[in-house]
Amino acid sequence: MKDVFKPEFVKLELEATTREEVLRELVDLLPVGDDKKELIYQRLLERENLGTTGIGKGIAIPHSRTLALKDVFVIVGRSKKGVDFNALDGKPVHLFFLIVAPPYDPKNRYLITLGKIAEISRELTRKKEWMEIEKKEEFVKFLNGLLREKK
Amino acid sequence: MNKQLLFLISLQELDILIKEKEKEEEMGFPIKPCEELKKAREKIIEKIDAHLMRRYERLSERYGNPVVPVVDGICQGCYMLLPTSLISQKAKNERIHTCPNCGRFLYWVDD
Ligand SMILES: [Zn+2]
Repeated sequence: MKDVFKPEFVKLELEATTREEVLRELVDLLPVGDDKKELIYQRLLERENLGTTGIGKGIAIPHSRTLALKDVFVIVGRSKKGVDFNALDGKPVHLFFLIVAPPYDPKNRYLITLGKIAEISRELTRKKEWMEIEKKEEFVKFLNGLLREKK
Repeated sequence: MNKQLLFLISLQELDILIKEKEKEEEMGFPIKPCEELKKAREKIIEKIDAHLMRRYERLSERYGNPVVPVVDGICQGCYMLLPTSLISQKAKNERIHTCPNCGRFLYWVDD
């Protein structure tokens, strides 16, 4: 399996200060047109309203299937100051993993990737060194390394 | 995009979430109880024309996925290559199109 995290899909200094802005900023990194971005953003927002993906301890994993995509994409965003994302523990979120996928992906990459990211997130709540990494490449290497340990 | 198509897509996407609710919860993502999801569903259905909704329900019973993307001219529901007369049309998502083979609603991802 290829690396799940890629530097071009990482933003280390999110500017967003609200839940809606975070979703927009993350969706904006997707390599698709504006009309699709809008569709995906609306879907993610509706998804959040049916159950928050802010799993607590500073991490959120917004995710959804959407008709607007042909492939699975994983986007990572970090906010040092943190954003109120209606998290389960009410604490601000610093690390976001956005996972979006087509309605049916034959190899079931969506659910597998989602499960793995949920798993490494538990570890990331303990090790906080990701707050200090300043280079995207290094950040990506760190995350891909964690994922590899999970196999 | 056609407004009715947009609502059909929202409904399809919500129905997928309802199907995957248990798997999501196993992974640690809490989702509102079924009654709340049903309410959200009703809110979308209100906006959909009755004849389209009847078709959606029929397709849903039969296949489970009434709205499907078209990729490279192929219906992702039945994997049939769609007729050129359909593929060559402009702004296809501005209208409701259905697959001549399986009858599913079509959304053009590449358009
Ligand atoms: Zn078809």
